[in-house]
Amino acid sequence: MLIAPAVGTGKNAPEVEALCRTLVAAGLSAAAIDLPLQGERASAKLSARIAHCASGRALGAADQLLWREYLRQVACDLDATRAALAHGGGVRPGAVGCAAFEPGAAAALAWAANAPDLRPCPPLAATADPRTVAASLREQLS
Amino acid sequence: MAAEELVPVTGQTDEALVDRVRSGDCAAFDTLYRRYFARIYRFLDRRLNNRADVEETVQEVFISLFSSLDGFRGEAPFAAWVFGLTRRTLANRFKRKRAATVPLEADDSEFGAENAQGATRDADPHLAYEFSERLERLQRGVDDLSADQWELFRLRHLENRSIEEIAQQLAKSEDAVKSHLYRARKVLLAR
Repeated sequence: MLIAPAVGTGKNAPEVEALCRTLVAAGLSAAAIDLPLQGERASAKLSARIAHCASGRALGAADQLLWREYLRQVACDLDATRAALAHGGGVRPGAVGCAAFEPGAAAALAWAANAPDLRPCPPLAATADPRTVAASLREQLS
Repeated sequence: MAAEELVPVTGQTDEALVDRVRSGDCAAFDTLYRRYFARIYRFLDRRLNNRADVEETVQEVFISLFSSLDGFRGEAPFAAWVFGLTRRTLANRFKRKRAATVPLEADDSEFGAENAQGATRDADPHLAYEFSERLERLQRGVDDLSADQWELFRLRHLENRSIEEIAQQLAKSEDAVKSHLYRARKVLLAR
């Protein structure tokens, strides 16, 4: 399971770590990575703009540009992660799901929807119980 | 379809492309991206130590570029503006890396050594990857060193011996040791 952290957070966010641990305890493999503007590359100002872009509201020309570039980079990072898992981790591409935390899940799920042999999962809320989420994700991958 | 969308973008100046990008022309966006990607990548590759850092910084540059394109006033060539932005992004990255700290307790004491071992064992996979890539690069560079240069480098940087100690051990002057070390580092940096 590929986990995309929420915009403005990163792979070490408590909800991401809790979900990954729960997934692993449930017998699944989990990988979370820092997407653009996350982790070391975090930027509060740009993250706020990305969250606005992801909200589905009408965008000005400048935000459209930023959103387009952000989507391209997210797709590129997730593609690379999936390829690395398939190559070095022995993971069958068809057995990979992608789950993303709100806000900003739209970017990762848009990539997942277009990726062959990959299952996009519904957006996740940081407040959700990781055990419930893990059970649901497991069911969707089975 | 608007008339300007039919004009091919490939032969246009950067400045003309920027105008079209600002008005929402996706083809101009892609052309500008392709025109600068390889140049920015090469610029950063010469200044950073590993591929992961280069790729991340290229991403940062393009996010900055497309998020602040409105700030380009056309007073200087677009390429100068892009590479100014690239230099600032790179400088910020170095600042962030330099700011990384370790706890005061992680000294040379037994407790500190245990902590360091634990830190290596539990290291972030990304850091472990960066470390292995740097090590691999260093290993390739070591092959280019002469036996004397390698011996000096090993004593100074792997065994942390002082210049004075090395000079005594190898029966050389301190100036000669410094000079040979300088040349060895130059060989490694050229990799």
